[in-house]
Amino acid sequence: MDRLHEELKELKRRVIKMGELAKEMLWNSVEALKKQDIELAEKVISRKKKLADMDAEIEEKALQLVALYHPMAKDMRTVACILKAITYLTRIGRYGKDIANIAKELSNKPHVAKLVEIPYMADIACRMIDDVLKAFETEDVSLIKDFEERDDSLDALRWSIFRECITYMMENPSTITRCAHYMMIARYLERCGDHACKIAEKVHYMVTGERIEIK
Amino acid sequence: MKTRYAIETENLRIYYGENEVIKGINLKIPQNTVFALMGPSGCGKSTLLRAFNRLLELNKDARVEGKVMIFGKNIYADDVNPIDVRREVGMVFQYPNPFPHLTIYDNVAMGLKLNHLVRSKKEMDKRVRWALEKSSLWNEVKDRLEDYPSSLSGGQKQRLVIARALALKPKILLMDEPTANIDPMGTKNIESLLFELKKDYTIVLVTHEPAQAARVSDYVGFLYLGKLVEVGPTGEIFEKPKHELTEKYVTGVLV
Repeated sequence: MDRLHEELKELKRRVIKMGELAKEMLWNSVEALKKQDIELAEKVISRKKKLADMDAEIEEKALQLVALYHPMAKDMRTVACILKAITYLTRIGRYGKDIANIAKELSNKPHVAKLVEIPYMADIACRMIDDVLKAFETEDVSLIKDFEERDDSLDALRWSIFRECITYMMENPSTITRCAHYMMIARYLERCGDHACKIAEKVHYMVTGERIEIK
Repeated sequence: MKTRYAIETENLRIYYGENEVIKGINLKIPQNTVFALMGPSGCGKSTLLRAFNRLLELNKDARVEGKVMIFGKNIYADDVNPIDVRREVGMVFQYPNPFPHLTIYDNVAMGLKLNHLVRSKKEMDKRVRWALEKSSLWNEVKDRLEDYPSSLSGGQKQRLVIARALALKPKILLMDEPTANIDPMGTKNIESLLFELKKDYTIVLVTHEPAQAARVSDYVGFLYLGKLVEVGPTGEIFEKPKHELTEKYVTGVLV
């Protein structure tokens, strides 16, 4: 393997590590919310800097590869995919941090009801992140072919949480603060699904050269 | 016959003795474009280029089958004089090869003199200046036209050779790795020159460097083992080539 391909392989490995960190932040933030675990929430928040550092390092390395090796065709598409993917992964990780902040705020009072749909949304979003990272690693685009349906499920769950929260808030105004937070979290998780879809589009472009749109 | 193509080939085959080196190529090169022929060493790029102005037949072993049409006219037809073809289709080689014993001025003027294309000294001065301006060399040599080319840098020598070709007012310029032996600054000057020249000429550039094809050309043809694997707009070839061999070549993994 020549130097460019060695370096690209290493860069891809770093993107996957970054993706795993972003996913872990998202997953643990919802765990912290569910279990009202302040320590875990703090841990998620503390990972923010590491995520930002990885984003900056990967971007710098990718630009260096362009400057030094003038990658073409699939190599160029890989660099383009990486540069976009790390932005989406950063946003996913930062949503994890935002949810962790809410988890801290909501840790001193019991939840309005048993949290079911929020963890379910987190599960769908995290599986999408897992699969898109796997597709990026293995170049198997069949792993992302049902992303549109999965994204639809996230949208539906978000609206379901919204309606449920409205009901609680109308029944009992003292739940308003907490319900407003739940609605925000549902929105964040839905956005994480959107970001996973955007990464999937870039991975598809990287592998095939064809641009697709996951609606 | 009117055509928008400067060069068209029809089932072009070239043999050296029994050995078929160009294996049935159908190619269309639009006018006023830079067309890059790209491929690994020994794939037949230079051979194909030399078929476009009948320079190939100077090699006694070489045999051409099929058609090469320059502006719609088959240059291998019986009634065509190869000297006329070469006047219309100029050539620039890999090594800058100005005549060392002639001054800068005479290097440009030589072709015109030999072909009796100008009648007066004044007309000759005008044409030499025009050719040197076209090749972006005039400002660098205008005060030393009587110097010998040995005083020029590699890039300047190559531009002098381009001026020599342009003086004959060709319609097509063939360039066989024109920057292979030139430093980065000289290469940059020649690449900028190509942008200027394509307004008036059609340029076919042979290069084994994909990055150069990407920088300067409008269309790229990828040649491999005597076959034209893929032709397309430069952006497409380097972003998403259709053929796996092209992909491998431009990403540097073709062995």
